[in-house]
Amino acid sequence: MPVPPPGARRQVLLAATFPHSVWVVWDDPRSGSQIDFASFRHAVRTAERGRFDFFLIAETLRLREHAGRLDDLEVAGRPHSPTVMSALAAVTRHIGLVPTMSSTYNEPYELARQIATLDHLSAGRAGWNIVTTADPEAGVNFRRGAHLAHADRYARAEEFVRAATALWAGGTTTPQRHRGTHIDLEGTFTLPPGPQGRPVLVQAGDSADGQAFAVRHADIVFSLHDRPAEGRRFRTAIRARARALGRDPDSLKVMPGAGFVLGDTAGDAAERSRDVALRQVTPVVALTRIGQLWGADLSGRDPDDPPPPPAGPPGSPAAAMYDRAVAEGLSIRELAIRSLLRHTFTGTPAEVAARIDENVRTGAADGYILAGHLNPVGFDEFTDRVVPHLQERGVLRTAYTEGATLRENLGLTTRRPGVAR
Amino acid sequence: MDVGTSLHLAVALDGAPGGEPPPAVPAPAAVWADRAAEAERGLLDLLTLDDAHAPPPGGGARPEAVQLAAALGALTRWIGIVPTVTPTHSEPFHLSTAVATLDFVTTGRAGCLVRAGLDRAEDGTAGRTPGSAEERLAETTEAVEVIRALWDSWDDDAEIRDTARGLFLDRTRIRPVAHRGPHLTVRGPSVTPRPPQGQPPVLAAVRDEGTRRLAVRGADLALLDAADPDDARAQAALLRAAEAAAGRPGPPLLIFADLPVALDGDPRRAAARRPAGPGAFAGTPEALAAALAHWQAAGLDGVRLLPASVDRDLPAVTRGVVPALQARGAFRRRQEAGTLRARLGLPRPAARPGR
Ligand SMILES: Cc1cc2nc3c(=O)[nH]c(=O)nc-3n(C[C@H](O)[C@H](O)[C@H](O)COP(=O)(O)O)c2cc1C
Repeated sequence: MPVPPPGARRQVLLAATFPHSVWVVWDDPRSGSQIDFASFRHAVRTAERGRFDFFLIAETLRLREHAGRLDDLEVAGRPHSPTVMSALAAVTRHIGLVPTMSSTYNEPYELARQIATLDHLSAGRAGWNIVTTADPEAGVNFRRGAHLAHADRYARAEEFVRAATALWAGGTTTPQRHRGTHIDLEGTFTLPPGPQGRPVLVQAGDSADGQAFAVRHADIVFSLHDRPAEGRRFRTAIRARARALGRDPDSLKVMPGAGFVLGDTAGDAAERSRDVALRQVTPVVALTRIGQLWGADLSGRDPDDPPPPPAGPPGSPAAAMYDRAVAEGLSIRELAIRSLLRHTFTGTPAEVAARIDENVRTGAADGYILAGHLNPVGFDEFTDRVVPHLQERGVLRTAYTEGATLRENLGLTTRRPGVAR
Repeated sequence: MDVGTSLHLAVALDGAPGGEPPPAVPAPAAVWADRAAEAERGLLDLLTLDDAHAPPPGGGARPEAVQLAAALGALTRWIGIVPTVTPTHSEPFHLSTAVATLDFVTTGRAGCLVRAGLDRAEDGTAGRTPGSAEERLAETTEAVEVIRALWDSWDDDAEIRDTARGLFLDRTRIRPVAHRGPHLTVRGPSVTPRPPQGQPPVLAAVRDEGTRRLAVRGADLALLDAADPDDARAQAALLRAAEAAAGRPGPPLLIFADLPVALDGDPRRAAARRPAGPGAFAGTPEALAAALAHWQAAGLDGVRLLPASVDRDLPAVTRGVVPALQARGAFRRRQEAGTLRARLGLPRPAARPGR
């Protein structure tokens, strides 16, 4: 299945991400633990049953706080990302395993070893979702202390990935030495190159620097652009930039994050989407989130009232949201739902499969990184009901190729050519 | 017999130093499973996984121990899983969440073996230059404090899922650790909830006065290099004196001796493979079982066996030594439910704010 035969339908890439934090509906009777290993095992096995390409989990290095207080509204508490993935390697056979790890708060030698170990343990199914950590407060937990400026985070990521790549390629025989502004490394790696040559690199970050980094190094861009028109623009631009660097554009896959809500009819799906949204954005969540954006305490207000004007300067995100609320006559809660929340795919299983297929066929994406709104059963319905439609359309494998690596499953059959310098 | 008086048995899954070199390419998880299953079938208390930020001196590959431990943890149901960690070369915050995650994966069977990275060959891998040997030991001790404080930064019941009030967490039950020490500043709280054991057991190898201080201040279990039971008794006395001098709170250190072993039904064949190192034993499984009685009589809580060849000596332990110990009434006959702490006789501590 890795390389579709000529004339075959373009394959849809599918990833599942364990939904954490903000938009998980945790008061549902089917909602389970977000930290017990059984939850991760259930989610990854469901995704493997659905023939997904990979399973990804996010990382945060600090509990969410606002105004010096811990956020107590959302699901919190998560595992060390590579460690839970190495455990999942032992209970799966085919699906790719992609932990998220910060290039800002790790060191390349250690991180490269963790990912390489995962790659060997999983017989070539490891990836790394490279993030630079946006939270300026994360530094308080690490030796570095202070955060790095945005440009420095990407400069460090650049040196970091070069060093990690060299360690993976050099194996146990070639000593490595890297002296840079951000990375100072000397040593011989403890593992030989893994079964897939280089682990699959995913990049998540949307700025110009982030995109420039992605076209140099990534195999997959984890993008935010889930709407078809926006997705097409983004994917076209990313591919053009890759080509300009001498890369085969097909070696860089674009996978937006996406949510979904299914129903037996279109009307049923819309109703369920509305119901899920109201449970994701409860009155207290709406007041808190809009209050955070406004920089104001809205806790005494009625969430069904219109929002007060924000204090921020005109042109700020809060001001733009306020203008929208006024223009459309939205309450605080409705504004929160409309601006902070998006169920990319809402419809019957057949409709959702058709839309995913069409989006991929028309170049809006190479596939999607899906998040359900329930833990750990968020993919059960998708796997049971949407996947068969995708398979019927001939755009999703019905069986994994035995022994294929993640890189091969993604259609990235060759090791990426040397990085443009 | 009363399990409380039973000897504890650990095995080093990497074998004895200077024994068989590890393979050049590490095996996938399924292959490791066989070794872990063998140790588990033998009812051993725990297995340890060696680690360092440098290739093994004799050649071969070295997987990262926590990652390997997690895979083994998912493949076993009962045995304790104890990877080596190096806080001088790794961030204590990451180590704390990694070991807590391992504890979730194993539902309470995780521990960690802390080492101060004293080997200069590793220095270039840390991203900064660690200090003198003495400073590294002090930094490791401080790091263990931080790791433990992070485990305690969530109360066990911090997740309340109060649907009436829409609150997932009780934020009064999650606290920053606000650690400011000579080597580390870590604010916390952890991003990982308190692990199932609360405090997964911390092991430390005692090789000299510096590592003895580290063990007394930071560990739950000390691993000794002892030439013979008399030497072990003398070293245990030193540890007890150091505990008293330090005013160590909580339960006294558990003390294990490290014994490199080569086992064979034919003692001459075993002798031909005799491993190096203090306390090394080469002989029949029955003879080792008999010898272990002397080590236990020296006041040890257990031993960690370091097989000269894991593939030969581990089965000899589980199928030879363990049945011989059982016949003497000195070892458990079945798997007992519970966490690694419980098996080691350590109580589960409550989360201590501001620890
Ligand atoms: C789709 C997506 C997913 C991300 N996931 C994470 C994450 O799990 N952990 C994290 O620390 N940062 C995450 N980030 C943040 C980025 O790594 C980056 O720090 C942030 O977007 C700022 O960089 P930018 O200005 O290039 O977007 C994510 C970003 C995007 C776009």
